[in-house]
Amino acid sequence: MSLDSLKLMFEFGVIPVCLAAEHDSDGMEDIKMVETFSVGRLCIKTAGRDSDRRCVVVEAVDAKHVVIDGETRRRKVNIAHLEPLDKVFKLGIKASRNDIKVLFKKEFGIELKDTKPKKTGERPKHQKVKKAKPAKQPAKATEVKKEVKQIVKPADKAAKTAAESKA
Amino acid sequence: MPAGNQKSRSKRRVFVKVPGGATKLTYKARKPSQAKCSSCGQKLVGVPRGKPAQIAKMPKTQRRPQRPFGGNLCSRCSRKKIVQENR
Ligand SMILES: [Zn+2]
Repeated sequence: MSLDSLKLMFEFGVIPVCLAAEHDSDGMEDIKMVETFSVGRLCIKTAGRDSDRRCVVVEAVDAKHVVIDGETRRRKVNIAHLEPLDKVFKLGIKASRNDIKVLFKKEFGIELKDTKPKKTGERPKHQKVKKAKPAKQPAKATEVKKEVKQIVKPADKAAKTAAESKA
Repeated sequence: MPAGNQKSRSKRRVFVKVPGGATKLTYKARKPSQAKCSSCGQKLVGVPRGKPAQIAKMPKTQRRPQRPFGGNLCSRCSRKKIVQENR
């Protein structure tokens, strides 16, 4: 890497990756992330369907991942899929979607659309059409049977109790 | 006398078994070549290779990747281009 390109990068507010790798301290990777992808840093998404859209770093997850929001969807991304730009906005901790909306309206004059998750309705259930069944037995016959049983039962019970008392 | 398109190799030759049991030579159109990156010439992933009529039947989301320059540039070239434009 030539000196001129290094100067350009520094003017741009970007710490080049190779410089970070040359330092011997072990927490260098974290420091690089904190410097370039600190909360409020304006970025361009370079990969995926949200690519070529501006976003702001909302929250740092770990050494490699941050949460972004803006013209993109609000989501966790790898910092390898982001290109940092020269602006850093002042953002509170865990700025909400509404905060980002206000910021983009103020800075770029863009009204952000709400990205609602798709609501999946219930799947249509296949319902069987029941055919009306013809009545098998007339109602009178069952009533007669029940009556017979009722008559028999008390007689049995009496017999049982009598047997028990004898024993 | 064979027809003109049967003498050239612009159509591919396919042996087909006919219902009578014999094999017969038929001539079919070739598939178009694989789509390539317009910048570096790399074969594009995610762009199907088939006859135009078959591809037209597919949904649009299956015809090319869902990112800017999808179906024209490979992922590496599209990243480069986006970074260059925004610096
Ligand atoms: Zn390419």
